[in-house]
Amino acid sequence: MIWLIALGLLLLAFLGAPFFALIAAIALLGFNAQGYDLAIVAVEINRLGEMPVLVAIPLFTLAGYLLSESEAPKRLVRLTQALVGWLPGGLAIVALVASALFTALTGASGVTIVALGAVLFPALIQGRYSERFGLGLVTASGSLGLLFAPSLPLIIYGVVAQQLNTTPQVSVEDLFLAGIIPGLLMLLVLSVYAITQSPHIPPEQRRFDWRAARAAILDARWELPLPVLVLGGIYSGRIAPSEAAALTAVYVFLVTVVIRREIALKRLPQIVREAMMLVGGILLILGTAFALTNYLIDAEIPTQLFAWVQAHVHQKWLFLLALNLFLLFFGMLLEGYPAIVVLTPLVLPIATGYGMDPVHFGILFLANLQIGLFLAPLGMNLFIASYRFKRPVTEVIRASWPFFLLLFACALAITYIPWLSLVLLDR
Amino acid sequence: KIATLAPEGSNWMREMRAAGDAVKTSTEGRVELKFFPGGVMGNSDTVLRKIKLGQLNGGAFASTELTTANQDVAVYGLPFTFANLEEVRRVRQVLDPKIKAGFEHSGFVAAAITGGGFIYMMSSKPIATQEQVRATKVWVPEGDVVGRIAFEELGAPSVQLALGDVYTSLQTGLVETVGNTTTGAIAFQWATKLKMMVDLPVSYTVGILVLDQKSLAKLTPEDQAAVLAGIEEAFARLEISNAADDLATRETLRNEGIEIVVPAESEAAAWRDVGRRTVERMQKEGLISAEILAALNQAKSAAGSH
Amino acid sequence: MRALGILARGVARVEDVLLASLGLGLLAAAAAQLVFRLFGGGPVWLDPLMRSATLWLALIGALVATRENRQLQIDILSRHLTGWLGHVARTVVVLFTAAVCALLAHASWTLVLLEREGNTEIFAGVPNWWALAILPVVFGLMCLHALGQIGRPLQHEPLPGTVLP
Ligand code: NA
Ligand code: NA
Repeated sequence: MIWLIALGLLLLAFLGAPFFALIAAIALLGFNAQGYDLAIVAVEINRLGEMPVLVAIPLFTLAGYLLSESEAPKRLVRLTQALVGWLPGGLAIVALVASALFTALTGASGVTIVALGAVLFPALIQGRYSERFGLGLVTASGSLGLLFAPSLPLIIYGVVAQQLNTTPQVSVEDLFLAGIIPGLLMLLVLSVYAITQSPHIPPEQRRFDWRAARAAILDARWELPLPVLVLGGIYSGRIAPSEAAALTAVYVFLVTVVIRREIALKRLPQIVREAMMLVGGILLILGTAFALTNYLIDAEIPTQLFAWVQAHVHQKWLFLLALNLFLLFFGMLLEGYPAIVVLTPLVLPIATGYGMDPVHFGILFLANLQIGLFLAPLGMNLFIASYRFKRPVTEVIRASWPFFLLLFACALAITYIPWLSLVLLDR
Repeated sequence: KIATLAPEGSNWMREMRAAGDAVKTSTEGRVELKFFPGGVMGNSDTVLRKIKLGQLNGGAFASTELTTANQDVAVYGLPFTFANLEEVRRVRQVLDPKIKAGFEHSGFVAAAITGGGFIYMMSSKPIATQEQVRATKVWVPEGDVVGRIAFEELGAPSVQLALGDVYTSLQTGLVETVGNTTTGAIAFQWATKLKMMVDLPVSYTVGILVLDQKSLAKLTPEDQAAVLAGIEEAFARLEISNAADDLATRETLRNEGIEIVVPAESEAAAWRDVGRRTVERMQKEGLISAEILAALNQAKSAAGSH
Repeated sequence: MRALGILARGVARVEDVLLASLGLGLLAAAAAQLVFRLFGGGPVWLDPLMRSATLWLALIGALVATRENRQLQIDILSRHLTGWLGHVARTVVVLFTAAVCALLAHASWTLVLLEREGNTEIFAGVPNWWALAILPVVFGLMCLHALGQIGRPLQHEPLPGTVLP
């Protein structure tokens, strides 16, 4: 019977049933089997209105949408171009850094490909990089930045992990700190690769142009304080995530709507509506996932799962390798958020059972999921890039596989070297 | 099935699991207590809903979280009401049974009450006088009506935050003055951010384990008695270890560089006055019953005559 | 039939306006909160209000996303199903979604009744069940919106995260 239901739900998933309905269905069936009142599912969804950290999500998302609707992406590219564009591989590094910053702030990797890719791809081609390299880079760029504060996936993982009562407890602040070095590692590796792929730059262009840099800094004077304020505030521990979100949203609103007026008041309701639809999509999935997690805990399924895995997998490294492949596969199949909310309650208890730190697990979990986003043949970002740059998916896959292999190597390093994630924490 | 916010590995969980083992033995396996620690079942409101819906059979709460079920639990939380633990002990002998009885019509059975110790004011700023406290940003737990009224009476607007957000907020300076037991200040790692503690008990905190009346009624009378006895014994042991912890942790706080100041008698009197005004306002706003206040005052004067 | 169409458009309009207003309202509340945190003071109900607004935003945002068939989903298989096969698949998915929403609506209605009995408050004078009442309303409407997808041409809607004008 259980297998029949599972098969039915799997089929519905592939036919395009919304994730929230699938997750809710499992929770409803589970609680029903336990003989409980189904109102418990509603109690769990209602918890969306009880967690202070969740207020950050609509605020950050709104800021991200306002930024991507303004001219900020162009200014960001111009600025980084002026600062590092003169280095060999500089332009590509610009693209990587700008993408990472943008994804960290907006939390939606698809938005990075669509909003920034539009500026970066032509710039790379103009800078005489091969089309294949450019296409691969913009596709992969959607997977950078998810490990940096204040990325939404980090916050969501933190919220779900907190439901599971791990020792030590997981805090969003710790996750923000833990993501820094792994995130920089990914940036560094791709930057080195970009340098090896860079076209020959004539010596006369290899100069740092003070005037261009000054002009670009001046041009971006309103946007520049934002990352300093937010990242500086969060990483120094001066402001909590929910305050950072309020600060970001209000600041971005003032800059894009009031000061620069790049977003007309008339368009504002429409943009807010779009942003809040995304928020609703993500948070409803999170709410139903609370119910699913609660059912799993009530029925002690994580404990049983751990016992089963422990009986079959004796070495920790073998478990980690299986974990890598498992997460890549599900990162490819599910888009980021559903993967986080469904897999965390199942896999985190197993990982802590093998003695892993829940914060380290969170970082390796997201590192693997994020590159699964452009794993062939089904990764979401492959299709977004194909759609955005009007290239066949097969061509996008060919272009992005070197990036995939490099980031996979990084994900392995992040998995097997906990130090990378934990060194900045007081552990 | 019993939920609690207490984390795995805490004194609370150790004693509650011991209660579970005792109950299992004494009922020959007919009753097993299963615990969900660390807030996995959600905050107190969520847990109360789940008890009503039958998913859970009980929960262990701080007294402030149960005011909707029984208003009288607020009595130990009244500010600047108790002078020392001895007074509390004598008052509780009289009031604990009344509070347990007060749950009768709420659908809950209060299985046991245990003392968590005194709450003290602590701050990252100097707070030796009321004037100094007024100049700081004061934290009050979310939904804690007593605390909010007390600091309104002092003339210091408070910041309401969930317990879990206090550590970060101390770090960021969003709040400066907080209240907790000495044990709590260390367990939540607040001590590293604090500089001063006022050695004047603000209020007394108790933990209460309530069970769902309907679930309990399904057991045989012997099993019911065994369950209640097992929990009661565990809570009595907790009471003793909590008191011992409180003394030991003062030393830890001093080692963390926290200055423990004894307020001048004039200051202490001024604080007691704030307490008196708070109680008056609560009575006027219908937040505490006249009966329990009368019982409290009677018990206090009886304790004082000893 | 025409009256029904007008009613549906009216409801859609209300949802859209409510969603945008809630989003902008939350932004305004965030701005007020920043000011209060810098200079101290501020009403005690601001934080609980912002949390309840987040619940409302999430639910109404999801409601609009359902109406426009833009919930997060896997669409690798459905994209390739055309003709009557695609039609059948679409109907099955829609009926499933509507059934889940109906169950959720019923479950949350039970919760609202329970909460009315309990008589707790979010903050001064505002009973808790007012905030909860959004749950059955949204899931009820979501069920209707899902059913409204039956018979509509199967079209590939982009995910909200990727939508830019
Ligand atoms: Na990116
Ligand atoms: Na998807």
